Amino acid sequence: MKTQKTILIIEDEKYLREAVVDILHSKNFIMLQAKNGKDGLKIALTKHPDLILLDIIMPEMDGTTVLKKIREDAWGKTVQIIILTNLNKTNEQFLIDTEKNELTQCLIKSDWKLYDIVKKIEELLK
Amino acid sequence: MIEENTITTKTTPDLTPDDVILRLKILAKEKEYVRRKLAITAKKLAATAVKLAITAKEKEDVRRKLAVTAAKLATTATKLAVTAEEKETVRRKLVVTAAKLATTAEEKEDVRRKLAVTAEEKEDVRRKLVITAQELKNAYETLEKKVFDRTKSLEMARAKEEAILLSIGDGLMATDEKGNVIFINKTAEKILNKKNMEVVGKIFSEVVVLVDDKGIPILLENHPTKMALLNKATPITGVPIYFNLYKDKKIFPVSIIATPVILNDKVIGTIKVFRDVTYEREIDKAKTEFVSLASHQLRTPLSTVSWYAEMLLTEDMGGLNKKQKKYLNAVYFSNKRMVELVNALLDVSSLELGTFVIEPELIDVFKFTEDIINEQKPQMDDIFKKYVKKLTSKFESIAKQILN
Repeated sequence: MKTQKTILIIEDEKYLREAVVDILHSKNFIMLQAKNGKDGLKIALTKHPDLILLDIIMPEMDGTTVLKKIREDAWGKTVQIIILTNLNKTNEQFLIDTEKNELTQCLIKSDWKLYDIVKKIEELLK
Repeated sequence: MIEENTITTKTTPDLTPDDVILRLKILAKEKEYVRRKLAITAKKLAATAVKLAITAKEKEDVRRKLAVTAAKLATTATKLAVTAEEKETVRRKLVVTAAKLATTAEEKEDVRRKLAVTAEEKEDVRRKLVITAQELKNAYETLEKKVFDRTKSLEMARAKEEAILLSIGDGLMATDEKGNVIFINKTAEKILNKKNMEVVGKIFSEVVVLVDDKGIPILLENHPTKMALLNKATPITGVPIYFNLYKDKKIFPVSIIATPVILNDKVIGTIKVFRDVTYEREIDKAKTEFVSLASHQLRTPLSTVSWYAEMLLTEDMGGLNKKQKKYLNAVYFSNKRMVELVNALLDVSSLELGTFVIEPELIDVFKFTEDIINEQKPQMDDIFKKYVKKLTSKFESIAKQILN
């Protein structure tokens, strides 16, 4: 068994956050969670997780700003980030920001099954 | 007394002396009585005579006085005769004078009449002149009014046209066939922050500088006026064209339509209409933001339901009996349908906003059709069964009729 991977989820919606935390916990990941962008950024920059699940519309600091700030960090430049959002994919600004980096994935929550997301995470962390 | 006399005369021849004595005595007495009466009458006559003498005297007096008066009258008559004569002379003289006067008056009347005729003639001429003058005046006034009205209506028409062009709410720019500006209206002056006088004669691209989102000037051949000059239709694009204002370095979105002015199949100029669409763009932005927000808000609870149902269905958290699984599947798929509905709603919004993105992907056509068939199958089966049943019963009844 490999060493356990750490995943940070930054999501303001309690039930969504808990669902992800529960399922990934059961898949043997160490889970970190933050309920807003500001806290999430702080945890990311101090705990250096292997992967970050990031929501976009959040109080305190929105996901795009968090993404930008993480990418400005030396460690953050290479970290895997999955943007989990319910924003419409046609949001131009959002697409421009996410497609810039291949380390950044963008998934629409309501279109994705939880287990497909888990699969995607496992793939990325192989 | 007469009766007494009569009595006395009736004497009878057989009288006695006594009787005669007595008769004599009576006669004497009667005579005394007459004598006395005569004396009274004489006295009365004497008084009357006296009175008559007095009256005669008075008459004499009157006669004398009348004589004096007659003499006086005679004198007066003489005097009057003299006066009458004098008066007659005067009258005669007066008659002469009157005759003379009459002649003069007649002459005067004649002159007057002649003068009156002349005056009347003159009056007639004057009247005619007045009428003519009035007619001339009227004609002049009518002409004047006509000219005034015509001028006014012409001026009004011109002012109207000018006002319309000047006051159109959109910016308006006209150029000649070389692209030199002929005219810009008030709104254009305001938008461009330039006066009509400054820009007339200048080339259009100097007056209206168009830049893209980042402030980089657009190519000349993409300039709507240039396209109109080449008689090309202005493309209707989703990409907004922005103005760059020289003076205050302000950039704002404008919508532009340029059309060529064509005469005898030749482009003789262009008309460009443009409008500041800052407000519209803001509304668009608000709309886009609303769609983003709505998608987020609508999808979040749906995702939650979807994920939890999924977790339960995998039975990672414990097993489910058959019924529980069935119910949960109903929840899961209904929710999925809701997600699809929301997506469809958002697609409509995207189409309206012109931000709809088509993402082509490979699909297995067989599987795709099979899925549709499977989806429709239960309903189709039902319909088929009903139809067969109907047909069968119909067929049976017909068969029965034939057999009978």
